[in-house]
Amino acid sequence: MLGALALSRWHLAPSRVPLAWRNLVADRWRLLRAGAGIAFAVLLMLVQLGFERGFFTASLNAVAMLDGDLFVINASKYRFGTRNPFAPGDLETMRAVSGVAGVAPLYADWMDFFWTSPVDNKPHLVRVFAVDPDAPPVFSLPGIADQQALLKTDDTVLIDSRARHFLGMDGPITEAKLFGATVKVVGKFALGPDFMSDGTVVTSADTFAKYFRTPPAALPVETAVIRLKPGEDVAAAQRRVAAALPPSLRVLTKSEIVAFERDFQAKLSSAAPIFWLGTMVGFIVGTLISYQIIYTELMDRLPQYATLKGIGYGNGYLIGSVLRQALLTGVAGYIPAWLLCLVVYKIVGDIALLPLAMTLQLTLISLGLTLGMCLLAALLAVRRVIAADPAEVF
Amino acid sequence: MIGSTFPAVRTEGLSFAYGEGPSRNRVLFDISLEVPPGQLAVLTGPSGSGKTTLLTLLGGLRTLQAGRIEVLGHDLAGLSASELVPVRRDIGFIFQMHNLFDSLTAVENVRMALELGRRPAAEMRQAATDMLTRLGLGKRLEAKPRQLSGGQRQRVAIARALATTRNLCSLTSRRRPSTRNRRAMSSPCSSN
Repeated sequence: MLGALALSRWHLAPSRVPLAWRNLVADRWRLLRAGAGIAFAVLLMLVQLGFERGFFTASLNAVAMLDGDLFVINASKYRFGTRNPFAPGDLETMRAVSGVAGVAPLYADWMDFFWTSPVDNKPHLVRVFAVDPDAPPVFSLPGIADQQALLKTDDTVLIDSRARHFLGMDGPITEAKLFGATVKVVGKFALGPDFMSDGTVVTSADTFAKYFRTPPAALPVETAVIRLKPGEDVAAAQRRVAAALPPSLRVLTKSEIVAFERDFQAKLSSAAPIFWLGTMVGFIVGTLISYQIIYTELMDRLPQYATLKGIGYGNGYLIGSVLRQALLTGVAGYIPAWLLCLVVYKIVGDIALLPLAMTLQLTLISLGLTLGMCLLAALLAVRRVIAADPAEVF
Repeated sequence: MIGSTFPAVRTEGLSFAYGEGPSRNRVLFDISLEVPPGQLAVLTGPSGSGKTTLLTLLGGLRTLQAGRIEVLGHDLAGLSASELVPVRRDIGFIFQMHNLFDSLTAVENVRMALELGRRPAAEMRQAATDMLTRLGLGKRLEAKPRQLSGGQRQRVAIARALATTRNLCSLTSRRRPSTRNRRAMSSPCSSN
């Protein structure tokens, strides 16, 4: 409020001549060229940053929809999305811990199930989650939580309407083959692929067990989802559950299991460095473009800057004005790029089934990088103004 | 500040050379001169004789090499390039090419010079308007340099030089200023 007031006063009757602002808007075509050049670099960075975020959001989509207070996994599991189950006997141990209201097993497989849809009749690897339809839902996603009761009939599945198109899950489909046997599609949910799985199938533990020729009670559990009684302290319950279980099992909270998968993606997979490299390329290209823009502008006005020095302005004022102008140019390029990026995210997100969305964090990071590249370019170019000799223009 | 006890400008044994080594080119040799306060002085001489060099030295645009300069009682000898900056604020310059800021209006160009002082914003705005009005540009206050004729631009440059200071006004020009502009300049300069 106060800031807006100060800003409007500054525009209506600036107490000092706003040299940087006047220089910026003096030439409409030059401003358009400068803005377009910087917008190009901003778009490069925003797309890279958005892809990185989309990659992580997609990679974490299954973990993020887990619904419970504590999660038990095999201690030697290095990421959520790889099979490494534990014996089902430990479920009873968990149920016996005080404060635990219920334990629901989640079974999962990433590498064994082939989905053959009537669309192309070719087997494609899919991710399969199996739940106990009688237990409370382990996934909070609409379409799974409210439809898991339908899975009580054997050989039925829920499928992902946002799976990659070639799986045929997005079309009208009632039957398909999973692991060679025919399954009936009883419902859909909208999750989307990650970078390992093209699509997701949710089925019951009984149906899942049939493919492994194992009695359902003997199925190894991928993750146990623990619900605590209302009012229980999560940290204290976590310690009690961990103490009751053998050290071969790990007990995590929701934020810990999300961080566990995120750490894998960030540190062990090469995705993060690739996108950051892309962002840096955008930053460097942007710095070079900004430098060219600012340098040309300064050289055109060099005698004018030298004259200001001649009438008694110090380098400090001139550097300040050049930096202010660079920041304003950055903002002038940033705003259209940001808007254009919303369109790019929408189009690319729909085509690539990647969850691309503009967030406050993305906005702040990219704005910081944009202003940083303009400042850096201005600091490189401002040497010309410092070196300008007023005696030359007298 | 300007007493009648010392001259507005005084030089003693002033020498200046451009370049280094064999290409060194001396242009001023042992110049001593005095300009009393309130005097309009005209410097004449063939081109290349060092008129501009002398003026840039007097105006604090160049660092002194040899000799002494006193301007309004300030000793310029031994001042570094950055120490010369505040000295220039007491001196009004009219640059050969005018060098008005092309993105600023006439009145803003004059205000740029005024803002080096510490007067209230409203007063500075008024002073800039007054000075331009006095020079016959009262109707072109908001014009950009590009929209002004050569003579009008020169008058804005004169206004910029006169607005800040009544102390010293130094001028050099390849082209002669128009008669009207010369008249405009002479009064405040010689009123000290």
